[in-house]
Amino acid sequence: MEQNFLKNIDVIVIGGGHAGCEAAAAAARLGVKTLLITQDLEKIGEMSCNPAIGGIGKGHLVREIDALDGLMGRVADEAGIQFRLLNRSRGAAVRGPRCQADRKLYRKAMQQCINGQKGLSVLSGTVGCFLKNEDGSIKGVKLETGESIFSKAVILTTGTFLNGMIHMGERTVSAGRVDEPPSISLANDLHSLNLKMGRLKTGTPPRLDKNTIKWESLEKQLGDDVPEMFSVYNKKVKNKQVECRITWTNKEVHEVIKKNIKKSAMYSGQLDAKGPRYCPSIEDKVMRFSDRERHQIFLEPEGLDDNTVYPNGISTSLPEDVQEQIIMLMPGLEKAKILRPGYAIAYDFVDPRECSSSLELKKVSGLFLAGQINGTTGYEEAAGQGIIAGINAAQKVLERESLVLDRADAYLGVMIDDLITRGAPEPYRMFTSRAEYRLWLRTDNADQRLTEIGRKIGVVSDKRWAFYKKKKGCLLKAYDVLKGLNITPDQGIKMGLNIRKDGIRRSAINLLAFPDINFNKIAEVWPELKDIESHISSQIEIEAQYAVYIERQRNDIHTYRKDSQLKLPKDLDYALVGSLSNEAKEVLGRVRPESIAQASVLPGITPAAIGAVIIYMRQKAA
Amino acid sequence: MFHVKHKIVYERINMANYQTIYALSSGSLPSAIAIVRVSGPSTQKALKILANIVPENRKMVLKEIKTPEQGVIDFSLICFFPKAQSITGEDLAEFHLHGSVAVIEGLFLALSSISDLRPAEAGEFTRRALNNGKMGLTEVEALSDLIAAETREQRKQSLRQLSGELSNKYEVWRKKLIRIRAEMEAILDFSDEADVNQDAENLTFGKDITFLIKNIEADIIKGTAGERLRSGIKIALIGAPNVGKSSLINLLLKEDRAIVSPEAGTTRDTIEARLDLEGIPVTIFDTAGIRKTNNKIEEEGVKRTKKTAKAADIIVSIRSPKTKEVDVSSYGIEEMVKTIKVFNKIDLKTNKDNISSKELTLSCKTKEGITFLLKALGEETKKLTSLSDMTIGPNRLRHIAHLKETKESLQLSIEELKAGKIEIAADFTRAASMSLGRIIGAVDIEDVLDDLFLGFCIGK
Repeated sequence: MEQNFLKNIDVIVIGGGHAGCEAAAAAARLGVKTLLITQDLEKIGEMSCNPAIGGIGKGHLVREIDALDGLMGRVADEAGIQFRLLNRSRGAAVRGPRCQADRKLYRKAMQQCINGQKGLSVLSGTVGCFLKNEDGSIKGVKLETGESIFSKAVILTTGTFLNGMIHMGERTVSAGRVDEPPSISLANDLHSLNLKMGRLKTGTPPRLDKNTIKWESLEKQLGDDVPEMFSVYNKKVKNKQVECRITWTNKEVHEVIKKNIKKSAMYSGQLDAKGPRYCPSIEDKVMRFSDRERHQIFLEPEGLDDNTVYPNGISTSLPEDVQEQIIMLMPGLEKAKILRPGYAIAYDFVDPRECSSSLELKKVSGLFLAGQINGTTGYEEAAGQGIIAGINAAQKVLERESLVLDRADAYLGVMIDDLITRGAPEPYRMFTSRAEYRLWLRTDNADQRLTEIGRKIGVVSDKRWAFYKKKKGCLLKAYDVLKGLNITPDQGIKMGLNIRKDGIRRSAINLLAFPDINFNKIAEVWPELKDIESHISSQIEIEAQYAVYIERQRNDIHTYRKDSQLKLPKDLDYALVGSLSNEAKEVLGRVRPESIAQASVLPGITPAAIGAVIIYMRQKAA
Repeated sequence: MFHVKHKIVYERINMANYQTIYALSSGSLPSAIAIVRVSGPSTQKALKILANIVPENRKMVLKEIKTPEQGVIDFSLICFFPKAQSITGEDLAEFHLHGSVAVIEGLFLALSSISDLRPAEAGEFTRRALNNGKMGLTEVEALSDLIAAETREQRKQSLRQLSGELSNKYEVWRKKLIRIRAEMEAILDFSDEADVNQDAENLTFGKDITFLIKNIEADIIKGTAGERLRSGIKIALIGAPNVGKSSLINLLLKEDRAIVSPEAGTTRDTIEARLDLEGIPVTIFDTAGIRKTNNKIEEEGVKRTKKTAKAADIIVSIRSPKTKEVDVSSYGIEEMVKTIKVFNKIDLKTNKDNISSKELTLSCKTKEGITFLLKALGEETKKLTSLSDMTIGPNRLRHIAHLKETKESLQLSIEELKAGKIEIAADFTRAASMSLGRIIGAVDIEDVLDDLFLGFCIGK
């Protein structure tokens, strides 16, 4: 029986984290036979670090994954125990949905999705090495038990497990996560592929026992009254909603840290990997920002029937006894018990510039990489790469063109483009500021940007497609109605609208572009508009407010896309390109951009250099 | 179609759109003829503005090229190529002009003042032609050499300009701009961080943007010093009727031996006199006083006054004991233009308490104070045409165009900030750093993030 399901596999996914799950499910949705191999089936969908999904930029990624019918949004909705829309007071383009998730419920929901996915099997095992054809392309994997499994493509999503090394004070333990063995032989095999690799680090805080915290004495942080779900599949919250609490570090805490700083793995020099600046350890915060008198700590419950609390903001690699001292000095935590100490973890990653935009390695045909192995941090970043790698591995098996989303399509496109052109000098995290077309790439229109693309290649199910078509239909209908309604300034002013008396009739859509006119206001003028559903009317409102700015971005996007279509061959010898400066030759030769668009944003590349490259390509083609 | 404000925004936005480009396409000046090419969607607009015509496709016509500000720039053969039949694959115009530096600079100045036109980057015409599939192989080979030459030229140019004082100044701007963007992006991307001040009104970036705008404006003015040296300085006398403007003109003409020509118009027209100040040609315009009127002729006079005042490099505002200080803003004069305030008729035995310390006192009758006025005028004239300043300021028109784009974007950014739309303000600031980046080196998002993480304690 077991032997049977290991035959005729199309795509093997190694790893059952956020990248692995999305990759496996996406490949299977495309109809190719997929096998997910992971060490511990119970850990599929584990949230290794903080118990939250989404946020600013990250929430954008989750919505985009959902638009391609991926899992993360749906699963987060199932597991959500506190929903908050961040940046609510700011413009729609920078609002990010976020939720606290129950760790167990999240795993359970994810495992249900994986187990329920047609064409997807799971296998508990440890991969020892890759199986290669004579030309070096991948033909499968070999388990540490000696068994060979053949496939047409392999997706590697091993997270922090490659040569993982946990640091806690002076103690070091070889591990992928606490109590889970690292992948060492696989790392060695990867090293043999002649890829540029590096080492990164990240950290996690100590976990606390809620029963020992003076919970009620601390400042509350509540979720939104009207929760915003991630996925169109869900309209309402499924679980009891809980609150987080807030405490602060203080001078005494900082003193203890300063006194013990030499004991911190990150400061003693035993850990020289590069860590993320936006996710510093408490040691880092205290040392680098010594003028700050206190730092905020969010106490986040890890689950409804779980007394574990995640103190967000105090990740550390100090020894356990120092961690205890620090915790006890904070308000409300005087008697708090540490369930599991915090630690730093260093791990191998592959320079993502080794990947093409499909996330397949340029040097190893058939091997795709997704998630932390590409130098990113964060569940959402991992899942986002996972879905793209899964789609593209399947597309390769099906001998179809790979799906490449660009910087104007999606945050997914921005992320992958950043990774493959700039690499990951520090762990990469999504920020909205990375997106040039931020006003266009919003959470409210993720499905309008991506669902049709996904449907065309076959990764979007009938059910998800039906949701989308319904929304699209409602939007078009509403726009038709709005365009047909117009009003003179005199009539408008009588209805309480603040517009100029210039004799120009304005349509309902034009009115919405006014800063102080919202949908409710025009629905007072035309009561028939009250029938339009709120999620439709709010999107129309957003689009009208941004229309003029997006029109401008459209021109930029047009230029960018035109340049993207001009592809540069992988093996282009820039030394042969006439009239190119040495500096430009060096930059282009090192980065090896895939298109003129990628080349033109590189430092030191002038329009003249771009012209010279295009000319050279023409000459070569002739 | 849009809200009034949006409509203005929309038009100004288009300027930052890098759409229509122009450049000298023939060899170095001076030469017998020079060819300037304009390519892009606003080509027809440019032709209409400068030549008052869009000629029949691919037919050369001789036309006067002129603008209200400069008058006739040159007589030029012009030709229009519609995009289907042009070398760039876009609407394209060619101006065949006399190959003098003054003519070309005049045309460039006129082109740069048309919204959404900007000077081309090196190699950009070729880029567009290539993009639009409009080039054959032989042409391409020839162009490849040209591009190499342009690159060398560009490098030499930028090295020359980015030495010493200039590069220090630009580096300050670059840092300021990075700081502004970092603070804005911190508010947007890290609003859930305790270390980030969420009260946008209390942040300093509004002030920083204003600082940048002021500095850029000053540079734009400096950048035109060379142009002023050639065409001379324009000084406008403004003030209520009967404060002594005409008397001052006459006095100046008497004081200055190097009179070129006194020309008088009608009483309600502007009167001009040309003289030589510190070796620089100066034209002084007398203007009609502004007052509300129903008289058609006088109304025309008021219109001319405003036009003259707006075009002036230096304003001399005159009042007498009986009148208040001139409200300069009612003339539509830009803030950056230097105004010299004169209190005339100091010889009259009236109350002198209300003379402000910023006013120069004068009596056209007794000539008291005229030396000081001439000295002040001479100083300003020298400042505006100063050769030492020319080496600091961006004497290249391309730079000035980029500076103007930057200024526009920053002004839009401030407007959006005032409306509380930080994400849109950030978008304009990004556009500003792209324009400025063409002079001072690109501002990458990584530079912004570096600054952000240095300044804010971000992260949980």
